[in-house]
Amino acid sequence: MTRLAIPSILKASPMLSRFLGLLVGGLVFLPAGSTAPTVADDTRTLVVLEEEEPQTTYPLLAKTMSEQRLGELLFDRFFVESRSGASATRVFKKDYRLLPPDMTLIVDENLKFSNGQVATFTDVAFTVNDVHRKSGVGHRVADWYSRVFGDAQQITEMAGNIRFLVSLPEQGAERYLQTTYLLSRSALGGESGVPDFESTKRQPVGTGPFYAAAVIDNFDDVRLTRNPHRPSAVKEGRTPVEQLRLLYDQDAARQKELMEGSRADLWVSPPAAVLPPFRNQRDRYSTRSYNLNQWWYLALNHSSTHLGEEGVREALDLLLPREQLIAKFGGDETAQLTSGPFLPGSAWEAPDTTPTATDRNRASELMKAAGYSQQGGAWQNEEGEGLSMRLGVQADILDDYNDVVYAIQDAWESFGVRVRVRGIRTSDWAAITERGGAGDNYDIILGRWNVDREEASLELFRQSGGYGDQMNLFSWSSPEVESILGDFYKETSGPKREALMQKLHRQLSQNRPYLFLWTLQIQSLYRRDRVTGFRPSSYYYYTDLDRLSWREAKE
Amino acid sequence: MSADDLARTWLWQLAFDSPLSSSEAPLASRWLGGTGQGWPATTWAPPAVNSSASLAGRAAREDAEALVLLVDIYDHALCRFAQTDASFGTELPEGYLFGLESCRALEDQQGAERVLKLAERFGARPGGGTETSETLKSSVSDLLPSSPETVIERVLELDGEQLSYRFLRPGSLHGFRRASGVGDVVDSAAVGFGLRVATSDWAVRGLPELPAAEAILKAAGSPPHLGPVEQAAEEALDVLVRSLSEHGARATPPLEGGDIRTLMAWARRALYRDLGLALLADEHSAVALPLLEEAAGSSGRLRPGPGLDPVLLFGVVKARYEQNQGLRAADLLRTISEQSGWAAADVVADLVARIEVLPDPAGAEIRR
Repeated sequence: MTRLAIPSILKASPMLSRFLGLLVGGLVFLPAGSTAPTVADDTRTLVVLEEEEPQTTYPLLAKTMSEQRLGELLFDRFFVESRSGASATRVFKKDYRLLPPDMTLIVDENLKFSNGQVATFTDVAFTVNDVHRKSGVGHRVADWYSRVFGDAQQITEMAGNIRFLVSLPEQGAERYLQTTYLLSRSALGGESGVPDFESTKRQPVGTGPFYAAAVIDNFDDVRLTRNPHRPSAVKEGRTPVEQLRLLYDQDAARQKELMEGSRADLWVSPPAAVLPPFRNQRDRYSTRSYNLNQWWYLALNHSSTHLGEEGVREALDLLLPREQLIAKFGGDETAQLTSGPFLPGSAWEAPDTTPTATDRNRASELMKAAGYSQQGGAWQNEEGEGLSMRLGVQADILDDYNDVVYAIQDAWESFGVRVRVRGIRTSDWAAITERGGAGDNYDIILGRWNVDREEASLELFRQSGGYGDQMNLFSWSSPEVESILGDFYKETSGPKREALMQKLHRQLSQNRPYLFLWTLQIQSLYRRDRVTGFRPSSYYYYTDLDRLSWREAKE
Repeated sequence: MSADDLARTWLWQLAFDSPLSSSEAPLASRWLGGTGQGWPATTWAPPAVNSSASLAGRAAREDAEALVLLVDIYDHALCRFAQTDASFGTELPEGYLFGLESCRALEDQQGAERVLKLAERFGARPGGGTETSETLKSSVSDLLPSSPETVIERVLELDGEQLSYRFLRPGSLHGFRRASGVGDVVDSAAVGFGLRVATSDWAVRGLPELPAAEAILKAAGSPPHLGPVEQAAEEALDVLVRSLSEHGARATPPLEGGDIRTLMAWARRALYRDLGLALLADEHSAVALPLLEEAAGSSGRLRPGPGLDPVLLFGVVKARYEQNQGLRAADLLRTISEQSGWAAADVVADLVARIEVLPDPAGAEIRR
């Protein structure tokens, strides 16, 4: 046999880390489809490492992506975007009719809730009329639903009309119903007229792929069982996943241990920095892109003592070492800097805006121009008030990315700004930040948003209506922005909409209700030697979960 | 797999028999990977069928295939975009005519009818000058040296904002596609090492224990499900890694762990690339996308470079676009457009980005 002659130019790229030959030898002799023991007692439970602990199981009440994902496991949407881009439905028969202003729908007679009850149009009408169109029941979608939909009217047990108040497009009218989750009237206490989300959340009833067979005692460890009334979509001869265990509120180091130790199967959103060693075991682990349009921000309280000064806001922006910060996420393989609310490359991104480059000298000039001076290294204003910031951070970010948080703190403190960092737990988020409460507790909030499409980001800057009271964190407002948004919502022409949004992007970049940081590409990590058919969908993670199956041992 | 069978694979031959000359090895990195960044500068030749089994001939042919993918994405995207009055509004009625051309190129009659109605409603008229984007002209004119201009640009000024709309010259690019010879059957007698390397056509006459992508897809049935396809691919790779370990240990000198890892990386990329491209061609982009991203290394953001060849990356773009991951598709198109000879990808990126912000009845969602 001649000497090994792999040309050096073809050898593996530097990204591939070098394993000991012994370790590689050990790996290659694993039998195909081998399964290592998972957490605790059950080797056929899919263990999923999630993010922050959910406060609800109902997706229309979800405020976090972990709540959104949990809701998708338990409930079905009326319509989903199918893989071909058209709309698909499990709830209704496919031959629905559109006769404006009504859409006539027939509930699939095979559709059952997890408690065995047959789903009927009574449940559809309840979902639309008594839940989604009603305000004051705990969600924030009533405005939109009331603008778009009139009543859902039952005609027979299984059929009825949904009336539209907007003019219907020739194609795709069912897309209006892509965010509506079917709810059970009887399970939610609909007879009383008021849905009871709170007392039913620990054992909700839905038609989704899984359900809580036992009451959920502990929301940081949720166990679900496959819905027995929902047929599996895996190919014949393959074994669907019957049990799920979702672990929340664990820090990344612990989650990494669980994945490495074969005690977990799927990690929804691992920090990019932990992925390389898993990528080097391609026979055992694989990653799949989770398209979330996620962007990170520092929201500024313009009403606070110092941040009302434009120069101070700009100075803080100029101090951020953005390139060093995104290096902590794996650099431009994973992250891109942003200059406004719309993502890099978006048609709505104003082409003349760029991410803020670090410039500490310019920051000093701006501070002095704003009337600040330094005393012993610390900045103070003309009234002698020291420049001090209360920085609130989403708790999961503080746990998993504390190097990023402290790099931001260090960048400001080394300039002479005092920064106190506090984590905001999920359970406290609403009380602390909503309805204008953020300003009482913080000057700046570090967080991230996930949007299914760019238009959703507009909610963050609206003064009133929509999600404003819950998402406009410091009740920021600007007459120019309100005017742009008002024009936008009335405009139908594409070029004009684009011009308005580019103007908005520029305005927000300059006015700084946020310091815009970066967008991240999320990659989920899973055990390819345990499961096959895993394919997260954009934003709605579990849309294709019915096709997930255990990897079968080769005969 | 027996030692003889293993020895017939291009992987073993590449490792032991030095079938590539010193001039060809760098070319092979296009598919196999290696050090370095970016793609070599691409210059375009007049359309021709090239049945050469050499790697250079294959690279030229695949560049033409990649261009076909790009044009296909452009046509689909523009035909789709132009079917709503929210695309060009009343401000750029000519845009509907470009859309009409694309729908006709795709033989999408229904789409063409919708676009034509809009064109008539807004009084669209062709012509009005051919303002060419100067920044594109010098690089994109390489695309078709016999064609003077390949991009038309229109600039709208609205509300103080300048919006640029660029269109690829439909006639010339469609002509290029038809004349390129893509789809012509390559002379099977000329299939040689240069055609098999970096594909799942592992050996001449095939290997029963190491199926090619075509065999895996056939066995997986129709419509294809990701799970069975994936499992079959992994089982094939399991067979290969065992064989390399077993027989490589007896080679002189023995095959080391790092070399096995290199060979397996080539094999994984080749198999998943072939699976993904076959499924994409068969309009199964949902299953194709994860397979193609696996072939490309499953990074968050891909960059042209060794192992990430034009056909693979445009395949990823097309699959992302068809799976409504438009911003990710546009991002990849923009990085591709930075490579010499591929500036036209930036035009398609703009179009795909505009599709992402078309009005959508579905309520927009935002979460922490």
